[in-house]
Amino acid sequence: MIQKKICILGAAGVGKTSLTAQFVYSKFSEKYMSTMGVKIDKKMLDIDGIQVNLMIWDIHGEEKFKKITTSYLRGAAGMITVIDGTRPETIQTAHEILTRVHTDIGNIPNIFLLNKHDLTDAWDISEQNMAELQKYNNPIYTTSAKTGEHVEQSFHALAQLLIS
Amino acid sequence: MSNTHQHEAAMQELRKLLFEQESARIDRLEELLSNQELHAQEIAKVLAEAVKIRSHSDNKLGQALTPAVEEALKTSIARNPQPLSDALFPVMGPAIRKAIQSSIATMLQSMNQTLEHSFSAQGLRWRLDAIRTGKSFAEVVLLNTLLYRVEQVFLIHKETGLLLKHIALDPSHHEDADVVSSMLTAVQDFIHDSFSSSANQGIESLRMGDLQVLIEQGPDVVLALVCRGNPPLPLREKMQTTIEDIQHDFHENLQGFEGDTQPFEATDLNLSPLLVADYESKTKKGSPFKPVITLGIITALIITWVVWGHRQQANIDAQWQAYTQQLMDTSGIVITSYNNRDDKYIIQGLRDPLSRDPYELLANAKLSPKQLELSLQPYQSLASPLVLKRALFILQPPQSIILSLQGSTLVLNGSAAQTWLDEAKKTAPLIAGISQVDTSQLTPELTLIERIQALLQPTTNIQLSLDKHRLIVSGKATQAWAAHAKKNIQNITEITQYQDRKLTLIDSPAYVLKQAYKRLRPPSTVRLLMTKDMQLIAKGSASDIWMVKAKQQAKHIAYLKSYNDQQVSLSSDIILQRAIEALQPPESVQLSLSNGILLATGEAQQTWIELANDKATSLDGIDRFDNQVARFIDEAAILAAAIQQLQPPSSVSLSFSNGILTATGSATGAWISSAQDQFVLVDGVHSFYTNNLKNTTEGWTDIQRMINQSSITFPNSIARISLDIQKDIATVAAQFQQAQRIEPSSKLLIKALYSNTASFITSLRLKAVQKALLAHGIGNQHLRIISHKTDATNAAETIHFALEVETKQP
Ligand SMILES: Nc1nc2c(ncn2[C@@H]2O[C@H](COP(=O)(O)OP(=O)(O)OP(=O)(O)O)[C@@H](O)[C@H]2O)c(=O)[nH]1
Ligand SMILES: [Mg+2]
Repeated sequence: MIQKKICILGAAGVGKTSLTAQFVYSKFSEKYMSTMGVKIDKKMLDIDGIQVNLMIWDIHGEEKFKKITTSYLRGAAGMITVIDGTRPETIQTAHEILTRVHTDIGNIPNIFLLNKHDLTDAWDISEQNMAELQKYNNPIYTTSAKTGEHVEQSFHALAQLLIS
Repeated sequence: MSNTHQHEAAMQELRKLLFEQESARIDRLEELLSNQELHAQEIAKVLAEAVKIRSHSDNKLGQALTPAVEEALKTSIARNPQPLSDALFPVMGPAIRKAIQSSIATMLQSMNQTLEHSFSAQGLRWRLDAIRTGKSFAEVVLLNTLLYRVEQVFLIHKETGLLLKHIALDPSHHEDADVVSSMLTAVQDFIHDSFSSSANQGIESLRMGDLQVLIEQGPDVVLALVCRGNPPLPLREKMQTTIEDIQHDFHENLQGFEGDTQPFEATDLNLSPLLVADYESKTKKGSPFKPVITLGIITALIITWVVWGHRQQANIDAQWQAYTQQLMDTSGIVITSYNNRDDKYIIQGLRDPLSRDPYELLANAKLSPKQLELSLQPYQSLASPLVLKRALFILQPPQSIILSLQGSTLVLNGSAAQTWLDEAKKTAPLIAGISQVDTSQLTPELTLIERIQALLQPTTNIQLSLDKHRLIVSGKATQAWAAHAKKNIQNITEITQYQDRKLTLIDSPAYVLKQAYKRLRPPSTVRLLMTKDMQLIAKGSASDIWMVKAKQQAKHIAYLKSYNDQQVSLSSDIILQRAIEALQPPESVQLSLSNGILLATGEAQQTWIELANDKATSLDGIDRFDNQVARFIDEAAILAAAIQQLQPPSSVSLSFSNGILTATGSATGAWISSAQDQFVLVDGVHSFYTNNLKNTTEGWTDIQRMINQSSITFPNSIARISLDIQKDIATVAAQFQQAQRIEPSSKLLIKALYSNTASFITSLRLKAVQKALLAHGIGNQHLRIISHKTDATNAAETIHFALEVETKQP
């Protein structure tokens, strides 16, 4: 068995905890309970016959006065950057986080999740937004913690990146 | 008289002439001395200098200033304590914390010592004392809470927080050990960030209720012990050495750690001693029955005491007489008179100071000293026991010498240093009752090491080596021998230091456990434990072959009382092997086993799924069967059903895979549209791809033709096309507008099927469709989504929609 630590980052309220809950327990709740510090979950995946135990560090959302300290990221094999598809400003937060991660930790495998894709009416991601994210050359997925859209696939894809 | 006057005046004049300048200076000096303000100004000029010089030479100044400074501080604090506490805070906080920490640590330490002694004979006495002073109960309770036990051991990779190895007293409850491990690391990170202590300073312990987590950090690993109660300090050292060992032994695995924890299974050997621990013997006194037994004894003693008191009352006189008799029989004591007056017993006589203490005898007789008036004059008795005692007292012979008395001759037996012999020969005849010394029985003195050997009787496996006054013992010995040696060596006064650290105790639980590991070679899934009474317990799971062999091998382990493998279950590999034999899963099915749960994944025929459900739980070692096998999809059958349903012309060929039905070739628009309507009726098909199907009647012209031929009967006619929205949205819009013009009173349904195999993200979605249509003046009220599917495995999506024209007849 192989163990890997991954971190989920993003602005507050983008759905980090919800995505983890959907992935690990197949559960979703409309209630917003902001994460304090960090919450850790695990899930065992089978990647091409290899048992991978993902230790998922769900870290509190980045806010102006509550910046994520990169010490939580120490030793992470990969990360997930979550963006709220109904709030384009959370892309800016994602940029800031990535810049900090790159200087403090280095370049570790990352995937972007554009979350809350079930909210079609409020969806507000422009082609230009997309182009900015594509510059990172990291996989991008639209997800919904509510319907489960692409949740399983995206976590799998990250695990796959960590193994290969 | 006038003469005197004149003289005085002349003198005045003369003074004036002679001392005019000096007098002015004296006036100035006078002014300087009497004017306080000038004074202060002058002193101020030199004050700093003066203080400096004086404090260099002695500390009188400090002494003189102390009361004033103290007073000033008092007043300042009384007035406003804030400035001072602000100033002191940075110093006081850490100091107080440190002081509290160290006092707690020493308190716990001494409590632990108390604990160790509490049930010895001495401890019992303390308890009695405590009962008398009314403290006992609290103490008993306190001591009970002090017991400790290490319940879990976590070996954590420092950088990632990943769990390398976990062992627990009760191995059945550690499913989330890896999460706990990560969480411990996160908590450390959090505290680190929040209090920004220096980088190599970590938390050393956490406490939750009566659970305490001890944490020790190595360069690459962190060791955490979960203890119940208060662990003793030596446990820390043990943790440190364990870390050092692991750092050393697993250096390479740690350096290149990528998440593979397999190599760390072997740390079991390092970690298990932390669980069973040598420390267990220290807590063995903590049986919950011990206090009960102690209290029982105490109660019994009290009852006995009360009963005795009554009897004593009745036989008091007889007892005093017996006591006097006992005194008379004691050598070195002579009783000359015995009286009983006013409830007092008066005894008079002579006593050699070396004879037994009469008050001790009194205590033995349980008589009250308050009733005794004893007056014994000192004298030297010539009774041989007392003469001998006197000789021992005065000569202080070494252990190797035995004194005896023959008449008035003191006989020396054994051996001793020459200096002592010379001194003894000189002094002995001066002792009352001794006239001469017999040295004929003396033997030459043994060398120190010979004496030690004679005393300790080491076996051939034990090496003694002498380094001046230090005796170093090494090799292998029993615990009994080690204890006996440690105690007896004190009789050899030349030895001031005794070192037995290098002694391996071959009958200690830890050593026997190590032997057991060597002999039984348990697989990593089995853990061996050693009880205090030398019972070896195996826990975990293993193959039955190992179990049999282990039982055999255990018989050969020295000092082992018994071997118990009732807690070893059949290993999951074997259970799994047997499950595979019994269930015969097809190749497309994977079976795995964990915690007694058999998990089946993959796909299989319905019959196999049902058979497995029936059989699995009746197999040995399987508690539950988690059957997640998907029903095997028979694609050929689905394709046959699709052909049956859609009746394709011979120009069309259908294929089916992964839920997608694909049509290639060519067909009429009418067939295509009916097929697109009906494919949903085929079970197992979720998408119908017609992109590669050539429409023999082209999209719009098809409708045009149908309209021209009046084959479209409004309302409810349907025209449908497949299209690539990005390119053909304009065509759709044109059709829509055309339709509106042709028959404004009717309803036209234009169905479009749009599918895209680009990435999820770049695909135009519903919104994009809406936008594009809107650009052609077709509002949302005309758009009806029939289905919208994304297929993650193929990264494809399909939008199936209709545009409806519905305008009222004028
Ligand atoms: N509709 C919808 N709501 C979502 C989705 N994901 C999260 N939410 C909601 O968004 C809110 C915030 O979700 P959380 O998962 O707590 O967000 P978070 O990123 O963990 O927030 P912090 O811990 O504060 O950083 C909750 O009310 C969720 O129910 C989604 O995919 N769709
Ligand atoms: Mg959260």
